[in-house]
Amino acid sequence: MSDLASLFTLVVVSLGLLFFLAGVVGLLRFPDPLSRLHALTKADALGLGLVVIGLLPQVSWPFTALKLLALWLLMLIGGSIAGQLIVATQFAAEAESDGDMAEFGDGGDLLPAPDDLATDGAAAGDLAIVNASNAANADDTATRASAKAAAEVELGEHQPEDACR
Amino acid sequence: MSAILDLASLADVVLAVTALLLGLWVILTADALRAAIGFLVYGLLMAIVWIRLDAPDIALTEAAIGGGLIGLLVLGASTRVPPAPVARSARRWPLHLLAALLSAAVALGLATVVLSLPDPAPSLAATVAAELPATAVENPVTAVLMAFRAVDTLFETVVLVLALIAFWSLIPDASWRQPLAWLPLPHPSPPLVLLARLLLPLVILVALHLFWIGASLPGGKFQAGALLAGVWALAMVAGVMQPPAATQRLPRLLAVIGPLVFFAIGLAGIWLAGDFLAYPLGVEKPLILLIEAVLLVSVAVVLGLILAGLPDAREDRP
Repeated sequence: MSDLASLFTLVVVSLGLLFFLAGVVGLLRFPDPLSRLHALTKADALGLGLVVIGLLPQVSWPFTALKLLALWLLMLIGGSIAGQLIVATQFAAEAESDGDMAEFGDGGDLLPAPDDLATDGAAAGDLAIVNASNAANADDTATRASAKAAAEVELGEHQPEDACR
Repeated sequence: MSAILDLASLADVVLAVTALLLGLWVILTADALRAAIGFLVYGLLMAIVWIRLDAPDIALTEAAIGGGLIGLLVLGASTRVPPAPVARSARRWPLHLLAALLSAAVALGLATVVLSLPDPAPSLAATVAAELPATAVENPVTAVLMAFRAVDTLFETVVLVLALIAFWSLIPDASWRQPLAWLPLPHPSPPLVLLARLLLPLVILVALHLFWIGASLPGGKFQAGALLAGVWALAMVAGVMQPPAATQRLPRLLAVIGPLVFFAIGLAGIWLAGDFLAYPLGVEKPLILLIEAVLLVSVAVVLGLILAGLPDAREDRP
């Protein structure tokens, strides 16, 4: 019986880890933020769910098992809402910098993945600075110059929102 | 059996190397925002390191304060400072080299000290275990914090209040009466409001649980207070709760009530038990519980107020 439980744990947890692996590969390889987010949230929800289910036979019923399930539920809520917020921030950033980026001919990939995480926690007023730092990372001297100009405006005025307009 | 042991030590090696590389990356990366995110992840990694070292109390504190709260503060600061000009940082390389050399010297010194300890390292754990019944508390960490080294804990909480005073001294006179304004979003998105509403009661429950089991298991006021401060900040970001102004009496009172009660009980100990911060026989447990409860309130309020930031000076501009 305990052998069977161990086998179940091994198989299901390995399956969960596979989802995490797929999520990481997707995060690294997919071209745009929305696809990357898609890969990542799948890994979060399904991968962690499988790991939790796989661990259930190994822990004492009811309290430890219920704690594990509650953790999964919390991660589901937190992960999916964080995904929504990142998408909303992404769209807001695209809309805000549309006029700014039009002359450079590329409005596409404004937010690289690591910065998405930050805008989640940052206030909307700081979007301008996030954009500025993103532009500074791009291999485009023109954008870099505009970012530098934006940074100088912020330095002088302390008005982050106005920097991008 | 030995194969499992080897796997565990392999995982430890991977963990240590990842922590080192991430730390190096956080220092070397030029972008403040990326460094702040790296620091957040580093805090969570350190929590796992402490778990592997069998120190769940420190792991909880590291996850809640070192990773979560300080990470949030660093993240907020990184979005508020302008990016450093490239030309200036190139001129300062001797300073960077000096800092690196000094840090390496400190690390080497610490490593030498740790590696040259005698095999059963000198420890007060046995003494603490022997004296534990006198405190009526089962968690040795709580016993050390609240009884054996209570004076340290008292001044730690005083330092928290001092930090808040120092932080608030940055408020310009003109905006002194306005609410603290770094957190609230002008238009919080509905999912964020939902998250805040869902998490508020849940996290309060978890924090009270963490506080209550602190007497016998890992947990306690600092971790619980950090949790409460974090969820308060989330509620303020989402507009579910309004941030207070620095002039309001209630937050000020709650911020100092912990150290005040702690100090008063400590003073009373001089007459009732013969020494400063000594607890009278028979009432140790209720007294420690009372002190922990008021300290929980103060820790949560002070950390939450620091997270709430400063008033927005922009409204005063013409």
